Amino acid sequence: MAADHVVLEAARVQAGMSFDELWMAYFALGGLASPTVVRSYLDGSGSTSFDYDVLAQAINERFVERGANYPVPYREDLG
Amino acid sequence: MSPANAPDPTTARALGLDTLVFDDDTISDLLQRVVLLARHSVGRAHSVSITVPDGEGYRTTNSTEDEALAIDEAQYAGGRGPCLEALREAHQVHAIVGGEGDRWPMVDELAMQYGVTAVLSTPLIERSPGAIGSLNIYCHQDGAFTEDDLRTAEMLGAHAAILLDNALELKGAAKLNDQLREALASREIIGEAKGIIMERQSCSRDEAFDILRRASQRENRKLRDLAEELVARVEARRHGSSPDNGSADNGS
Repeated sequence: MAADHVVLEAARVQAGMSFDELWMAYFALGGLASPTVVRSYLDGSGSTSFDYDVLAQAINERFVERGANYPVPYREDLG
Repeated sequence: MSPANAPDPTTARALGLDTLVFDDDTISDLLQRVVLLARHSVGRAHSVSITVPDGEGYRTTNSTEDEALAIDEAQYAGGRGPCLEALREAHQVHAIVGGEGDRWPMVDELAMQYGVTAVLSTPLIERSPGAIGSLNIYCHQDGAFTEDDLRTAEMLGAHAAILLDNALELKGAAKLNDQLREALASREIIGEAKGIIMERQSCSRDEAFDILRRASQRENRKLRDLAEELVARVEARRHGSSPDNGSADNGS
């Protein structure tokens, strides 16, 4: 089972979202962390647990714009 | 500030052309001054324009005469031409109409209709290696542009590149500004919605977010929209049930 951040990073790329776009959407959803912190979380060099669901929501909303149906799992779905 | 008062070529060079950047006109006006100055400074210039990339194609930002705009646009339509080559290859292109007949025949035809005999297109390069635009000079006289013309065009191109680069950055900054403003508005309304949910459900902030995102998933709607709706409902209810309600005709 891939680590949280790997799932999110892969999803971000698949959704065609740049990091800046993701951070802006995360920020708009109420995310509290700076771009630097989010970036280090996503590339695995930061903390292990994070605003996972907020990031997942941000990427899912982009997917929805492209016709997909919330493909990114939320924390509770990861088990 | 009118074209009639533009400095003669010698003076313009002596001034180093720096006077352009101290003007308090907008960048677009400054670019217009560049094309007008180019027309005056480059001995054989008849008309001048500036080309920039625009999405998949190109567009002319400034031109001194319709002729330049028309020949620019013929190149954009065909996807080929001296102006586009200067931009794409980032080198100055000096093309004699009819001389290199086979290179851009479609453009040659239109150019000849206007009486254009040569085109000098200079790439606008701010950060190597690519060009962010091109400065195009069209001439009506027989013979080519002179060495002097080529150098003057390069100098003007260098200044135009700085101006254009600034204009592009300003545009980028304005866009970022708008995005941030919208993101802040979104944060605020989502924060309010979370607050309402936290109070009603006696739950944590994270749990409130969960409730919102599950609803978003279920109803396939943006989380921010749901938050806005919730806040509006609560506001309307509070407004309607207030005893001092001024707009009583809302009917409660």
